[in-house]
Amino acid sequence: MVKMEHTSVVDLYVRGIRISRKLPQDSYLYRLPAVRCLQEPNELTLRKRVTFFAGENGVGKSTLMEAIAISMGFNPEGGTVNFRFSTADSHSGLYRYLTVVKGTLRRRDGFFCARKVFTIWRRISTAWTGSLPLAGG
Amino acid sequence: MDRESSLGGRVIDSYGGVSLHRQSHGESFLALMENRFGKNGLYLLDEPEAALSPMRLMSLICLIHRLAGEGSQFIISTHSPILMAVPAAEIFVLSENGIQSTPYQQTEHFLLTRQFLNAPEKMLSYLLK
Repeated sequence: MVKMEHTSVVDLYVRGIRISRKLPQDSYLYRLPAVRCLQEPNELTLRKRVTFFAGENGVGKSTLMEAIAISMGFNPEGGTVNFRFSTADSHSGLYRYLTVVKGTLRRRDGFFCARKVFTIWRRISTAWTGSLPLAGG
Repeated sequence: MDRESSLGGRVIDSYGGVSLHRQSHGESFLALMENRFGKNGLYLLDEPEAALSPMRLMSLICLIHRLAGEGSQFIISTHSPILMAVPAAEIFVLSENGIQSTPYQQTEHFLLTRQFLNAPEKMLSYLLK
């Protein structure tokens, strides 16, 4: 029997997201309905241990992921807080407007895999095996 | 690598002595998550399906489900109708209409994929006529 529900949801690290500063009306962020709808007083409340964002390319999924990552202290290029490699300072700037409602617990661990990361994965795995005891043999 | 294990078991149990360099992208990515991700963590994954076969996506479902039960939180963007089947997850569909919480079996990803796989020829003849 698969346990379908996880325990209480009060201990999430990210409990909600909202845009707490007014988005400039001429910005491309403002033209993304899925981003604009997060403008205060609205808020997207996360209720589960696993949250998916689905939707067509261009609706703002990556922009949102990246902004959450930066707000939580991750490198926008992907990785942990300590593991950084930079390609370009190309993030969208949404993080400047975003407020992440954080839970009370401190996370033990974390990782952000940007989409770019998957396309240059070999480089990353080289970096990881070079700096951490990851490989088995 | 226990590549061909049945769906019920863990596809990867260990590195098995194979260095990450010698593994394919999909293998090493899953190996990283299996070995690096742990309990009480926050993991943000932006379309992780790109590097993973359907079999490995199912392994990822197992991993996510197990770690979520151990206090970890996942926020994942995806197009994969397989991955978003993770039990007890919430799916937010982003669109021109904003953001909508949507049950798995009502997502376009699920419905369209099912329709396609149920009758590929029919779907193709409709698409290609």
